[in-house]
Amino acid sequence: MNATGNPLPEAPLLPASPAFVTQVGILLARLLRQLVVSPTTYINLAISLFFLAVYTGAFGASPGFEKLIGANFLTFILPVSIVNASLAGSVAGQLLVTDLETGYLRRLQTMPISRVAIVIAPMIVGAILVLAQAALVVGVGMALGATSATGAAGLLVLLALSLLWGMAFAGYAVATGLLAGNAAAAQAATFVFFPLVFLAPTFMPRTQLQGWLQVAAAFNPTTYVLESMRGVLIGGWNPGQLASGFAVIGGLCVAATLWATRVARRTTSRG
Amino acid sequence: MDPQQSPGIVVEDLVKRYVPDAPPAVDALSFEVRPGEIYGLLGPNGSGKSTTIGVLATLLLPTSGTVRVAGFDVVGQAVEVRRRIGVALQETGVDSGATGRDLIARHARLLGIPRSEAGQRADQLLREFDLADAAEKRLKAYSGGMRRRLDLALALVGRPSVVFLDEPTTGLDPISRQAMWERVSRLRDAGVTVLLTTQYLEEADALADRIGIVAAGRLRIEGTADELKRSIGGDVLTIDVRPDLEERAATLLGGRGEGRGRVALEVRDGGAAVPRTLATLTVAGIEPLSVSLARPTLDDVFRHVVGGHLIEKSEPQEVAA
Repeated sequence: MNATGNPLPEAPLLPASPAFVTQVGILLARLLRQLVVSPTTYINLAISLFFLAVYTGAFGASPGFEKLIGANFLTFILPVSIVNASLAGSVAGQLLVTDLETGYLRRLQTMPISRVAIVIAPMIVGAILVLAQAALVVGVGMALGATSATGAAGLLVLLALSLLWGMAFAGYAVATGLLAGNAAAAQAATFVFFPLVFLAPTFMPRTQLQGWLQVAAAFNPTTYVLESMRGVLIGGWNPGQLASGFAVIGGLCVAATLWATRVARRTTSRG
Repeated sequence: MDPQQSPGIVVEDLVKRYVPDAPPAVDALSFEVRPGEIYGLLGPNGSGKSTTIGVLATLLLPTSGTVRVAGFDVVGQAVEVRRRIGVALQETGVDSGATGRDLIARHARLLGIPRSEAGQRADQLLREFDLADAAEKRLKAYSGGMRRRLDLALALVGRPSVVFLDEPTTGLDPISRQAMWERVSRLRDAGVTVLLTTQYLEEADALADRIGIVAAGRLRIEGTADELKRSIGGDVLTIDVRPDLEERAATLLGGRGEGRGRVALEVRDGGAAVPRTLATLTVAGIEPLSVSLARPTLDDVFRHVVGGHLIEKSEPQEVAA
C-alpha cells in the first residue's frame, strides 16, 4: 500500500515474463481444474470402458472368432478401446473455442505470454485425458484377463502410443474448432474419428480384410497404431512394426500440432 | 527515450483498414495522452474507438502510422507494451468456472509475479475492490457490478503504467457507477495513464482530464470538458429586469431582449461574467430581479460535433476533418 493508503500502482512491478514452460504449466493447471469439475470428463472415461464391454460382449464369446484372429479376443480388442479414447482429445478444441467465445482468449492476448503456449496447453490437456482413459482401459482390460506378451514395458509403450495419438487428435480438434469458431462445430468435427476407426483392421487382422476395405486400411494411419499396439500385446517385441507405428503417429502428431499452431496464429493474429 | 519520461500514449497518423480497399475504420488519427492523465475517447457506435483501443492494446496491427504506449512501439515492441498495460475491454472475458482469487492469482503468475506474491496481490486487489467476501466464489455467481470491479482489478494486477478501460460502467447502477468513478480517479492519483471510452458523457465529464471525440475514424475535436463546452458557443447568462428596462439592459450588455423583461447574452466564462454584468447594471441604475447561468453540456458538444458541424474556435484544439 502506498503513502496515500491507495493499494493501486505505486511503481510498475515489471517482473520478467515467465518462461515458456511456466506459461504452459499455468494455463495447463487452469484447464485441468476445469476438466476435473466437468461431468463430461467422467462420461468420456466411461465411454471407452463401454466400448470395451460392447465389443467383448458382441464378439468375445465365440471360440471360432478367437481362432480366426489368433489371440485372446479381449487382448485383441483392447487397442480399439484405447483408440476410441482419442475422442476425448476433442476436448482440446472445445476448451480453446470456449475461451474464444467467452473472450478469455482475448484477455490472454493482451498479456506478455506466448501465443503458442495458449494453443499447446489445451492440446496437452486433450492428450492427458486420452492417456488417462487409455490407462483406465488397460487396467480394466488386464484385470479382466487381457495379456501383454511384452510385460509391463509393453504396456508403457502402449500408453506412449496413446499419448501421441491423443496429442494428434487434440491438435486436429484445436485446428478444426478454431476454424469453425464455435464449440458445437468443434465437437462435430470429431466425426472424422468414425471412418478412421472403421476403415481399419478394427475387428479383424488386416490379412482377413477383403477388397476395398483392405486397400483403405493400408492408407489409414489408425491401422499402424492398432497393429503396433497389438504387436506389443500379442506378438512380442517387433522393432519394425513398432517403428512404423511410432513413425505414423509421430508424423500425425507433428502435422496436427503444426496445423493447430498455424490456425491459432491466424485466429489470434493482430490483423 | 526513457519510457518513464515519455508520454503515456502517443498516436500519430494512425490508419487502420480491415479490408485493403474499404474505407478505414480509423483514419489519420493523432492524439497524445500525458502520463497520469485520464483521456476520454468518445464517439458514436462504429466511430473507431474500439479499433483504436485494439491497436493500442496490441490486439490489432495498425495499417500505417505510429503508436507508442508507455514509450514503446506497439508494432515492434508489443511484448514490452503488454508488460506495462492493463486492459479492461468489453470483449475480454473471464474464466467463469474459476474463483475471483484464482483468476487474479493466475493472472499475476502469467505476468511473472512469483506464486507466493501472486496470492497476496490477489487478496490485496480483492480487498481494494470490495470483493474479498466473494474471493472464493466462482465467477458465474458474480453480479454484473462485481464482474466490472473484477475486470478493473485484473487490469491492475501488474501495476501497469497505462490502463485501457472500454466502457467500464456500462450496465452498472448509479451507485456502483459512482464507486467505479472514484476508483478510476484514484488511478490518476497514483500516476497511471488512463484511456477511457464511454457512452456516458457525464462519465467523461466527471473523470476525463481531456476528451477527444471521434467520428468516422477521425478525431473531430479535443480539449478539456470546459473547452469543448465553450467551443459550441459559451455560457448563456439570463437576467430578468423590469420590462420597461429590458431594451436598455440588452443594449448595455450586448445581449438580446426576449420579452417580459428577460435579457439573454452569450458569455465565454459564465462564472466570471456574472459579477461583471451585475456591476454594469447597477452602475446604470438597473436593478436585476434574477440571474441564471446555463452552460452547454457535453451532450450538446457531442451532438454538435458528431453531427458534422464543427465550429472554428481557437481555444480548444480542434482537428480538421
